[in-house]
Amino acid sequence: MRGARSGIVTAALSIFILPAVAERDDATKRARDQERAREETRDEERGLVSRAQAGDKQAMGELFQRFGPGLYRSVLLPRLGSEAAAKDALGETYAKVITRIHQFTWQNVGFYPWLRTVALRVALDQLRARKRLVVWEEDDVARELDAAATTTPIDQQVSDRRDRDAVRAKLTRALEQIHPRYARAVRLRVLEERPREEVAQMLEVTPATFDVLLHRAIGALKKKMSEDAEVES
Amino acid sequence: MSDKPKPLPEPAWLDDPDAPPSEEEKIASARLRDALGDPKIPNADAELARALSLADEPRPLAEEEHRAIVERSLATAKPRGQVIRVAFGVATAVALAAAAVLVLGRLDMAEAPRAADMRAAGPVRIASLAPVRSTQELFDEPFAKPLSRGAASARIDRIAMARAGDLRENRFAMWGVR
Repeated sequence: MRGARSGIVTAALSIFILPAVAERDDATKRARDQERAREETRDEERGLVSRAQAGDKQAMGELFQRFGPGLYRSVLLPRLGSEAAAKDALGETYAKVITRIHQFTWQNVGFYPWLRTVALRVALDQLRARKRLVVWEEDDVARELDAAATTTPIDQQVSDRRDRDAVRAKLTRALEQIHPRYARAVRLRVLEERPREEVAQMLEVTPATFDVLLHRAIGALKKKMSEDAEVES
Repeated sequence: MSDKPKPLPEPAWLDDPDAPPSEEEKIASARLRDALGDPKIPNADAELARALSLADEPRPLAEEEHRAIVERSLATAKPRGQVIRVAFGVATAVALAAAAVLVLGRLDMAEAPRAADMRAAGPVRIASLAPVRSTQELFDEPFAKPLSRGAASARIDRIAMARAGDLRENRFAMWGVR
């Protein structure tokens, strides 16, 4: 009887408890490995920053190669709304970083939050100079800039994801405020980039009527965005 | 009564996508269609449409384009530290040069004969120097009374220029370069 009971306990241990313990140990080990990898990356980054601060152009170039593409895609391009403007802004950001890197103090949060703050300032200056309606208004970027130093995640991937989510949420909010038919026209033709004829067919209108519909949709969106900007400012 | 202008009535199409289009709308719609097809055609609505598209799905920057931007930035921008070092270096060089001129100038002055030595050197050498004299010879015209505005400054300028010339000639004479 006692033998049977101990057999049941052993079976329960091997089926339920031991795998769970092993899984927990694995997870702990994985987390520890990830943390070690992050620390190594951070140390390497810190070394690059120190070399760049000492005037090492190669180290500066490596920092730009590491963070620049994400900065362009997630910070500058969505806010400036034009590839040419975003490329100009990226070049200007780099120029500012080169002249101001001596002001950067390593605070164990990495280089990216500082770089993003510099880029946001450049984007804000461009938006102020252009006065053209884009998805992001000056005030939006100014508010982001105020918060950037404390809210930018250390990990660039997390920051990029958050930036893109914020842009999509803003777009969704804007589209929700216009007539659903206009919103659909914008989604299909502009966001999904479907051919004009295909969208016209989907909306059950002629291509010429769709042109008018899209023109009105953009007009309605512009109006809402301008009104929102006025209310926010 | 308020002076504030009345807001324009909302266009009918804003809430009714099927409202019949005006001629202007048809023309503007055709322009938007063309501009969406060709980014070179300037059109504010098409620019906004592209901005919306880029905000929703930003395209990555091509690797070679990014490399070119990085290289351009590194080539043109000078690190501030370097600028400071260069500026500091230039300032130091200027300061050193000024100090050298001062010291050498003093040495030269020390080497230059003093008045007593010059007197001892004999009449020939002293005679070659500009003598101490009145400034009267510099002025042919009588002083106007009352003095006109700026007259005193003009007289002083004339004296300063003449005496600066004397000083220069004396120096050349003393250094044996005349």
